[in-house]
Amino acid sequence: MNAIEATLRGFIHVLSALGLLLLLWFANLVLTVPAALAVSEIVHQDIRHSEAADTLKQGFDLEWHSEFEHRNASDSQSPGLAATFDPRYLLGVSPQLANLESWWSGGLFSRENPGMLLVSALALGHGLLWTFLLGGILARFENRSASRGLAEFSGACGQHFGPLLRLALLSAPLYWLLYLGGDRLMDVVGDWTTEATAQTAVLVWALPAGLFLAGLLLFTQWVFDYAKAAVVVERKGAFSALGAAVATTLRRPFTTITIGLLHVLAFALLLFLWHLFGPGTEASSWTTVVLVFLASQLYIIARLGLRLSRIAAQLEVLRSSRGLRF
Amino acid sequence: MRSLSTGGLALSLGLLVVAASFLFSATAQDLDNDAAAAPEGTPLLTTDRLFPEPALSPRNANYVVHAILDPQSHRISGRLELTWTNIQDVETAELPFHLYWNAWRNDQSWWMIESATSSRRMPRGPKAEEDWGWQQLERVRLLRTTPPPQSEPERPRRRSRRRAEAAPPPPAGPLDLTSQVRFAPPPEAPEDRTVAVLPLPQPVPPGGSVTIEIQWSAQVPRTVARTGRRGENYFLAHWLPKVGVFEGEEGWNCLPFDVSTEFFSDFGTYDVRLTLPQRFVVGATGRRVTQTPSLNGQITHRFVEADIHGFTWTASPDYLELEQRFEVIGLPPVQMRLLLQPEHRDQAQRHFDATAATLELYGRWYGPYPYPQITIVDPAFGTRFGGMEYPTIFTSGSSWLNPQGGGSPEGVTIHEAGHQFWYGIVANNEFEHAWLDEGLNTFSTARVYEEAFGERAHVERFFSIPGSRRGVFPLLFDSTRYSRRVHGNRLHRFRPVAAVTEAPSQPTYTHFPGTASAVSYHKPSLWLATLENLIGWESLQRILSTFFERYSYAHPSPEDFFAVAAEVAQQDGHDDLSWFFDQVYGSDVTFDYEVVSAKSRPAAGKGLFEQPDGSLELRQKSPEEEAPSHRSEVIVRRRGQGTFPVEVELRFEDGSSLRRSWDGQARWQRFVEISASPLVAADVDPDRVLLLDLDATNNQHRVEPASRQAAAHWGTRWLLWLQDLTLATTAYF
Repeated sequence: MNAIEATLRGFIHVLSALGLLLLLWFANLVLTVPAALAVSEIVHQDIRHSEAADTLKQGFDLEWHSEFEHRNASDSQSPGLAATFDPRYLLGVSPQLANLESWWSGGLFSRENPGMLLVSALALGHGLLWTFLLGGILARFENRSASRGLAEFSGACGQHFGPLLRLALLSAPLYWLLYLGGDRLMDVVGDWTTEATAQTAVLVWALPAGLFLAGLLLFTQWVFDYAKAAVVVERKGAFSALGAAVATTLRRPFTTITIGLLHVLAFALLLFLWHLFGPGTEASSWTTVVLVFLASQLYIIARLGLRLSRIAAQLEVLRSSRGLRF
Repeated sequence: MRSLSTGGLALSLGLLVVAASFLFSATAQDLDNDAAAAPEGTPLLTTDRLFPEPALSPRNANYVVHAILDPQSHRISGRLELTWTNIQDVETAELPFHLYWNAWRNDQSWWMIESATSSRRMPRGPKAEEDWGWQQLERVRLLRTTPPPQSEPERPRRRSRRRAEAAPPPPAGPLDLTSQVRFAPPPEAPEDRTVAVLPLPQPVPPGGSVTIEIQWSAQVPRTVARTGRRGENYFLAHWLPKVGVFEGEEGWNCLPFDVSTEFFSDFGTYDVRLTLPQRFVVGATGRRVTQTPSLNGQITHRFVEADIHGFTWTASPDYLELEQRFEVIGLPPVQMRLLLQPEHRDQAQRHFDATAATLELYGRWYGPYPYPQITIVDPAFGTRFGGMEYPTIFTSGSSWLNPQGGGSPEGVTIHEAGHQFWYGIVANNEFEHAWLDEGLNTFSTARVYEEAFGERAHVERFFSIPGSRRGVFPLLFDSTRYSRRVHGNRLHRFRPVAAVTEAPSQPTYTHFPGTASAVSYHKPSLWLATLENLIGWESLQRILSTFFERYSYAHPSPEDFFAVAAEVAQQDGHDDLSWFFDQVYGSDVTFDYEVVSAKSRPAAGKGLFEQPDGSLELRQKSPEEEAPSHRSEVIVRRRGQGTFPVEVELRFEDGSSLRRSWDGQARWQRFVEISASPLVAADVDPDRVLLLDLDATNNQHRVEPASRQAAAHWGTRWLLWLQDLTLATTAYF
C-alpha cells in the first residue's frame, strides 16, 4: 500500500466514524470549557462596570488589557489563568502558531509562565484521556464492524490502556532527550553564528536545525503511532510494539514519511484557511459570539479529524506490511 | 648622475602623488596634509576653517583625534589633542576624564556591579580575553596652556565668567604627566577605572585654556551597552578619553560610568581621522570631509563637526550606504545618510521617512536641526547597538521581516532622531536628570509617530533564533492598535513599577537600576501628555520651544525647565502649575481616581412627609403625584496619593449627560443629582486628561453591570487556544 492510498483510507476511516470524531471533540470540549468559563468570568468581573465591556465588543482593547494584565499579575484569586489571557493566544491564527512554537521548542509544559502550570496540567490530563481513548479508536479503525457500540468502545479503551500508557511513559524520556538535544543544537548554532551580523545568515543555520528538530519530533511521533497501532492490532506489549513499529518504519520509511508530510501539509492548509477565513476580533452581538464559537469548534473538529486520519493511515500501513487487510 | 636620476624619479613620483591627491580631492590637499597616521610627536593639525561661524556653543572642549582600528585584534590605538577652556568663574587644577570602556574591563567596575540589578548586562558573559573591553592611557602630555585672551570674539557662554587678573607664565614645551594620572573609583567599587584624573602643574584660570595630548589604546568589547563589535561590524561609542564637565564652585561633574545613567559632556569642535582597512564603510558624527587611501590598503576618513559634545563612529564592510536630502520650506536642509543592513534593503525609505518626519515636526515644534547632516545607522543583527543617540548620528533597529504599520523601525528611528534635539542640542546632564532628555523625547516621539504614521498595529512574532529573543516571523493584526496616550507615552510600562519608583527630582544615578527608565522615560512622558491635556498643545509647545531656544547648548537644569514652564503658562493665562510639578516631579506619588458606586432610584420616596398644614404623614409618593424624577448618587474616591482636578460625568438613560467638577483633593466625594431620567453610568475624568491615572478601568461605573457578551466572546477565543493546545499533546501521546 502506498502513502497516498493509505492517506485516503485514513480519511475514509474518519469519515465513516464521525460519531467517534464527535465523541473525541466533545471530550476535549468538556475538559477545556471549565477553564474557559473561568477565564470568561475573570474578564467579566474586570469589565462589568467599565466601558471596556463595550470596546471589547469592537475588537481587542490593548489599553484595557495592559491594565488587566497588571491587575492580575499578583492576583492569587485567579490561579494564573489570567496571565494566559494575552493577544498572542487570542488573535487570528496566533494561538495556533504559539502552540506550534511551544511544541517545537518544548515549551508546552514550560514553567516560565505561571498560568501555563494549570494549562499544562490540563494538557497532561488531556493526554491521559487521549491515551485511554486511543485503544477504542484504534480498535474501531482496525475493525469497522466490531467496536461500534459504546460498550465495545469502552472495553477496547480499558483493554489497551495499560500498554498504551506504558508506551506513552516510554516516549517521555525520549522526547525529553530530543528537546535537550534541540536546545544543545541551537546553542551550537548560536556559537557558530556568534560573529554573524545578518539575521538571514543565522537563519541559514537555525532554520535547517529547527526543521531537523521538528523532523525528529515528528518522526518519533510516527514511530510511536505505529507502536500504538501494533498494541491494538497485534496485541503486543509496549516494548514489543515499539520494536514492531521500528521494524515497520525501517521497512516502509518512504511511506511513513510521505504520510506524515501529507498530514503536515494538510495541517498547514488548515492553519492557512483559518488565517484567511477565521473570525475577526469584532463581536457586536450574541449571534456573532455563537458564530465564533461554532467556527472555532469546526476548526477543532477538523484538527482532530486530521490527527485521527493519520493514525488510521499508519494503521493501514502496519496491517499491509503484516499482510493483513480488512 | 645615477643619484641625480634617482632623485629625479623620486621628484616625478612625488609630483604624481601630489597631482593624484589633488585630483582625488581638492579639499583633501587643502585640509588633510597629515591624513596618514601622524607620527608620534608631530602635532595633530586642524583648522578653524572647518567649523562654521558664528559658534553656536561655548566650544570649550575641542578635540583633534587620529585613531587606527585594527580589525584583527579589535584594538584601537589613538592620539588626541584636547584643548579645554575654562568657562567658569573659578580656576581648576585638574582634568578628569571618562574612560567608559573600562566598565567592561572586569566584573569589579561600578557598571558591572550595578548591572546585576539592571537589564543592561554583558550578553552571555565574556568568554575570551578579547571579549572584555578596556581603555588604557599610554601617554599624557601637557602641550600648552593659554592664558585668558585680552579680547576675543563674542561666543555663547554657559555662564558669565570673570577673566583672570594675572595668568602665571605657561610651562615651556610638552610636559609628560602620565605618571600623575590617578583613578577616581567610587567607594563601592575600588577597582573601577572609568574615571581618570589628571592633576595639572598649574591651575587653569577662568578664560584660560589648556591643551593636553593623550595617546591611548583600547580593546573593542564584544557588543555590550550598545557599543562594541560583532563580526566585522563595529559600533564605537564613548571610545575617546572624554573630559568631564567643570561646573565652577561645584567642581567637576565626572561620575563613574553607571549602568542606569547616560552621558554629559561639554560642547566643542571635533576633527577626527579614522584609519582602517578600505573594505569598511564608515559612518560617524559630523561631516566627512576627506577620504585618503594609502598604499597599504588602509584608508583615513576625516570627519569634522562643531557645536557637538561627543563623537561616535561605526564601521562595517556590509553597510549599504544611501543618502536622501531633507528639504522642507522654513527649515534648513539636512543630508540624511543611511547605513543600512543589506537584508533590510526594502526598509530604506521607512528609515528616511521616519527621520524626515522627526526633523520636520521637531523642527516646527521646537526649533530647527542646525547641522547639515544626520547619519542613521541600522545596526547589525545580534549587536544590540540599536536605539541609541549620539551627536548627529544614531542607531535605529529593525528586523529582516518587519510588516508595514507595526511600528518598527519607525518608532525607534523617530525616538533616536528626536534625541538630536534634546540630548544633542540642549544637552542637559543625563547622569543626574536623564528625564529632561528622555522624558521630553519620549513624549515627542509618540506625538510625531501619531502625526506621521497614525496608530501602530499589534504584531506577534514567532520562532526565535540564536542571537535574538524576538521571533523571526511576524504576524500583524491591523485591527488591533496601540494608542499614543497609553502605549506611546508608555503607561503600560510605568504602571507595574509606579509604586516603587523614586521621585524624578532625585539624581538619576541614585535610581534603582531596574526601574530607572520608568522615571526617566515613562513618567515624564505621561505628565507631559497630561500637561498637554491640561493647558493645551499650543501652550505646551511654546514651553518646549522656548526651553529649546533659550537653553540650546547650555546644559540646562530641571529648574530652568520649570521656570520656562511657569513663565509661558503665566503668559498664556494659565494658573500656576507648581502644584502639578511638585507632585509629578518633586514626589513619587501615584494617581488613581475611581468611581466606587453609581446608583439611581426614583426620587419619589416613602416615609413621613409634610402635609400642607405642616403635619407629618406616613405614605409613599406615587409617580403621578409629581413629575417623574430620579435621585442619582455617585461616589468617587481618590485611591492614589496624588491629587488632580477632575470632571465627573453622569450619563442618563435618555442619552443626556452632565458634568461636575471636583478639585480631587479629598479622599472621596459624593455627587447627587435629581434628574428626569435614571442614571446609567458615571465616569471620572471622562476625557482621560490625567494620563498618570494608573487604572482607567475603574474610572467608569455602570449602574447595571454590562452583559457578558464581550467576556463570552474573548472567553470563546481563549477556549480555542486551550483546545488547540490540548490537541497538541496528542503529538506526544
